Parts: sequence; C-alpha cells; structure tokens
Amino acid sequence: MKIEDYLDISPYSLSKKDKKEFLIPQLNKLNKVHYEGSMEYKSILDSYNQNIFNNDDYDSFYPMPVRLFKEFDIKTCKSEEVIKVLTSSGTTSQKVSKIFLNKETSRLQTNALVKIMQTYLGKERLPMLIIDSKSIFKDRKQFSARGAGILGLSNFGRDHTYVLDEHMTLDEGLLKDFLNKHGNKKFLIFGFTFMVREYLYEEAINRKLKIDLSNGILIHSGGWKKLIDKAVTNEVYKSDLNKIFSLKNIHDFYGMVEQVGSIFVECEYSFLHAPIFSDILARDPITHEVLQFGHKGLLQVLSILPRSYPGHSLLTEDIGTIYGEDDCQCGRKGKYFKVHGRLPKSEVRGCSDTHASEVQKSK
Amino acid sequence: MKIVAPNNITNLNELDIEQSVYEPFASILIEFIDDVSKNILRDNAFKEFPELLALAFWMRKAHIKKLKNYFLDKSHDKFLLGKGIVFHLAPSNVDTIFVYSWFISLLVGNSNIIRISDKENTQTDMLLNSIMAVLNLNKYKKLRKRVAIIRYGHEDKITKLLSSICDCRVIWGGDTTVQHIRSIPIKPSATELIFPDKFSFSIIKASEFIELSNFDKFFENFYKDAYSFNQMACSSIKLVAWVGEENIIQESKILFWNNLNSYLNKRIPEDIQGAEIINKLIAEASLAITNNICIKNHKNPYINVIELESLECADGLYHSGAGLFYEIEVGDLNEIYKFITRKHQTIAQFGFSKDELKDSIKLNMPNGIDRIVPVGQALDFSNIWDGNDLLLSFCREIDIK
Repeated sequence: MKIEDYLDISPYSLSKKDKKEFLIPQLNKLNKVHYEGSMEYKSILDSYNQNIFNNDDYDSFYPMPVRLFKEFDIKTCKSEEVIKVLTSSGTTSQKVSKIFLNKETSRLQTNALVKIMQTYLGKERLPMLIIDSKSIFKDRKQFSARGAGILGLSNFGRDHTYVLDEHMTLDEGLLKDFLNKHGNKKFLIFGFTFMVREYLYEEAINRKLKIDLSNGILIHSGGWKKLIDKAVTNEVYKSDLNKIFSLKNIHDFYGMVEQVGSIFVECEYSFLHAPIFSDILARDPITHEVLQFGHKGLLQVLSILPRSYPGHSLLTEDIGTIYGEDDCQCGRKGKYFKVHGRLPKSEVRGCSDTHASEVQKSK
Repeated sequence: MKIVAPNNITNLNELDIEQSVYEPFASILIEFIDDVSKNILRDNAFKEFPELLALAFWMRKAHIKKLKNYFLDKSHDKFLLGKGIVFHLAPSNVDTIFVYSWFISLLVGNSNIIRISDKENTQTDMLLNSIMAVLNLNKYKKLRKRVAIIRYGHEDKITKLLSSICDCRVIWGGDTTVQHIRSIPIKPSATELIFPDKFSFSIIKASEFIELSNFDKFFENFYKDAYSFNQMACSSIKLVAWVGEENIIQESKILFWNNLNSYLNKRIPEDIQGAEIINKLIAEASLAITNNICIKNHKNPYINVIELESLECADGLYHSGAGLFYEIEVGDLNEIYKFITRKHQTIAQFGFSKDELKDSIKLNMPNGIDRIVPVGQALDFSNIWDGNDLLLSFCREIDIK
C-alpha cells in the first residue's frame, strides 16, 4: 500500500504488527532516498557503516541527532524544489534549525495533521481562537516554529481570531466579540502552552475577567519548561483552566519543527499517542540501548513524512517514558507516552573558554 | 560584578592595591599558602574532587620548599624581583587554574588581581571560601592589600580598568577570548603571558605496549589523562598515535581498546552524562560530513574512535570530549613531528626512553610541543607551562655588573 492509502484510515487504527508492516518498508525506502539524495546524510551513514536499506525494526535506523539541522543545511531535494524553510530557535545556542520542505513533504504534513486533528475536532471547520499575536507573520518565507504551528492548525478553523496584540497583551474586546458570536457552540482554541497560561489564564485572573470557554477545545503545544519551573504540572494546568474558564477539553501535543505533521496528541487519559505515520522509542541516555516500556529515556522519533530532508529517524534531546502499545484506556492503537522535559544541559569544562565552544567546521 | 576581595570595597574605583613587592618566597607567603592547603585538606567536602586535592597537595609547605629551591637554583647569581601587580584572567569552568596562576605569582612577591567568571561553579566557590577564610586571619592582614578577586562576565569596561593598572597580564582561555582581551591595552611597560587553546595527544610504542602485563595500572594512568575534565582540558589526551611496525600496531590496538573497555566497565566516568554523549555523536556526525572518516563502534558509550590519516587531519577538528579519540599510526617516531604546530602542547608517552625523546626533538626541532610526560601525568600542573617558566615570567631581573 502507498502512504496515500493510509491517509484514508483512522490514524490510531493499526495495531503493532500491521503498523510495523506498513512503516518499516516506508522507512527503508526513505532511508535510501535520503542516502542517495543528501551528501551529508550519505557521509554519516557511510562513516557508521550503516548504509543498510533492509532494516527489520525501528531501532535499526540511525537516530540522527536533531541538532545537526542547526549545524548544517541538510536537504534531499533540489534547491529549486524548496517551497518553504521552517526554522526553530534552539535553547542551547543561537543557531536555528533549518528544515527544507518541498511540495510533497509539505502536502503530506498537512494531510497527516488533518487526519490526526480530525479525530479530536471532527471534520467541520470550527471557529478558532488563537492565543497569539498576528505580528509573528512578518516574514512570509521564513517560518518560525511558532508561526508554522499556528498556520498548520489554522486549517481546522474559520473566523481566526488572534486575541493578543504585538505586546502579548490580551484584547478583551476581541475575545468577548468572538465568544458572543461562537461561544455557545463547539469552537477551537490554539496556543502555546505557556502563553495560554501566562497571557490568557493569569491575565484573566489579574483583570478578574469572567470568561466561559466550556464549549472550547484547547489544543496547545510548545513544551513545559517555563511552567515546570513554576511548579505548574499538566494536571495543575488542566484543572486551573477548568476552574476559571470551565474549559474541560484540553489536548497537549508533542511535535517538533523537524517532524511537522506526524504529531503526538494527548488523549483523555493524558497520554501522548503515536499516529500511524510515526513511531517512538525511548533509549538509555548513556548507552542508547532501547528501553522497555515504563522506563524513562531519551526519545527517538520516526516519521514517514519527511521527503525533502532526512528527518525520518531523529534522536531528540527530550526525556520521556513510553508506557505501552495498543492498550491505552482511551482505545487508540499505537504507542502511548509522556514527555518529562529536556535532557539536562551539560556544563562546558576545560581550558577553552565557553566562548569558543561552538562547533568549528573544519576546512 | 562581584568583588570577592578586598571585602571592604564595593566599587572598583576604590581599589588600592599595593605595588611594592615582597622578597620571593618570603616566609609569610609560604605560610599563607600552606595554611590554605591545610584548610582544604581538613575539609571533607573537597574529598570528591581529585583535582582540588591535587592542588592542595601542590600547596603544601614541603612542595613549595621544592619550588623555592628550584627558583634559587635558577636565579643563584641573579637578582630577581616580582614585577609588581599581576592581573590574571582565568578561564570559566576550570576551577583550579586561577589558584595556580595567582599563587605562583604571589610566591615571587607580586600583588595580584584575579578575574574569575561569574558563572556559578561549585568547585570555584569552595576554593574561594577556603582561601578567603585563611586570608581573613589577622596574621595575613598585610597580604590582604595585595590581592583583589573580582567575579564578572565578559565586561570589557572592567577588564580595561584592571588592565590599566597591572604590570603583567596573564590570559588563560580559548583563542577567541585571548584575541579579544589582547585588544584591550595594558601599560606600555607591562608584559603579557598568554595561554590559548592547545591540543594534546598520546604516543604509544606498540612493541612496548604489547609486552605489558599489568593493564590496570596503565589504564588508571590513561584514564586520568583522558577522562578528567571530561577530556576538554588543553592537556587532555584526544588522540592516540601508534608507533611501530604495522602488524604489532594492529595487535596492540585490539589489546588497547578492549582493555580500556574492561577498565571503564569497572570505573565509569561519572562526569559524562547524556548531554555529553549527544554532543559526542554530533561531533562524530559533523566530522563524517566534513571529513572522510570511519567510525568504529566499540559498544561502549565512553569510547568512540575515529581513525585519521595523519596528525594533520586532527588540526581544527571539533572535539566534544566524553571519550572521543582520534587514532593515527606511524612507522617511526620522527614521522609525528612533520605536522606539529604551535597548537600542540602535551605528549603523554608510553614506551619511549628519555634519550629517544630528546634525540627526536633535537633531530626535528618541532614548532610546537611544550611538554612530554609519561602517560598519567598529562594534567599535572607544573610551573613550566606552554614553554614558559611561570616563576621566572612573573619576575624582572636587575642586572648588577
């Protein structure tokens, strides 16, 4: 079957064996495409003697450290085929990841995202409240991760309403207008995890606003680092939003600019789920051996969507636990897991000052 | 910015540092340093930091007396005095360098200004607390006018001010930092000592290695040189050069990496955590992209070996530490010297006689290499560093005819 055929079935409908039968040949094919299409990727696989295109399990694919996309421009397609460059600012350095998308990758990403989100939102486009500012779309050719996230989700909405101004201040009037118009029927709310907390929730408390979001479905993403520092866990986050806004329908998702589309959405039981386009492994942070379910480890994410850059098997710097496969209480098939945060950063030691610790590309 | 010493000022403009010098190795100086040593050695908190203990042993009276004899021997019919005020810029995250630099300068009688990074660092804080406790004793009141310790980031204004009052400036740090600080002027009469980035490696005579009966002892030494400071010090072994006949080298290599593997199974480099391992993988993949290399899988997360054609290939390569080793082979010791540059600092050797090494240096007269030591001593601090005798470099000589 081709990947297109799988866009027609539910993204959580394949059990372990069927999913593997579908994904492994696709991943092998991609491995070859990227090996032949990217000098950089070929050099890496050759150096490790990993130029193998008949792997029989997920863990045999070379997990490429995501940070390499910050150090090098790595793409598989021709330059003239690039229609979009996604960028993400990193927390570890000033460098940004550059992800080159061609038409096919971009289309697959959109389609996969649609399939995944429809299972949470339904097929109809919903009125959409965006907890962000329009001002982030200044440059149309370079997309920040934030902008790409909003645009991706915008396909599921209509009447897109950005309720923050360029200073990230909540525009009460806009919010109230939106709710007057759409508040009594199902609507979509999208925002970055900490922004929803800081610019909507905390602002509403400060201004003593009465806002009813009981018909809303909140989709949020972007990581927990800032909130964990303030002791706001996912549980606290959800119960607070429920208390203040009567907002019950809340889904976090885990995704990255290096694998847009095949995202991992949180179910009603607070587990993130791998859709049929992707799989996930947890590895021991030191030995990189694949861990059994229930053990905390470094996450490796596999996806069959990246066609224009070798992003089909990536080693993240995120720590998570995979709890099981096919047997989540919510009924969705596939692996389910949680992300706990980022790998603790290393301290640079040595005679060389930290100023000079950036990667020096050799001549 | 934080002024650690003197503790009675809050503004750098109030800094009034004594410019006259003590007699080299005056007894109050030796006593002070010995007291710091005692203070560190009686504190159990230091026990888990071998590099701090090594520093404390270096400061003991018995060792300082050896330094004194060495100094007297070097200067026997000369008249050497300290330069005056020495300004030390220590690298961030190398906790002990600032003390060595400061105390050697102090021993020859100088007043000292020490810049330490404002980044939090447990070892640095422990050292500073211990030193300050001794310095604040009544008997060292006079010494307090001879030291300023300032913690700050990369703030040129402060560096400029301190540079304008010193008679000698010492810069330890990465090449970029060194270059940058050198652009900040010092007094016309002031001198400067520079310790930029360096690269160190090991040479092993295969025919001797293969005869080894006690691998544990060897790898205890090798571990010290390669895995301390997460392999990121200038003197850390980052490359292993094999010397000898092809077939003996091949046999030795297998023995070497297998036995290092067994040794690391017994002694895990605790410093190396997940982030360091990822950095190492990124370094490997980056090298794969920029250079044509072969990465051997040693099935040990603390050993990664990359074979290179020659020493020259390692020049400028990104190194992430955490047990990443380049490996080269040569038939004869003299082949090593072809590619030696000023960047090369320490050779940690195994299996060569002192005469062999001296002869090879005489024959090749390399542009670089500051020291050749037995494996196990690469990180030992010495007053002779990067080709300078620090004791003498902090002095001026009065020529009396």
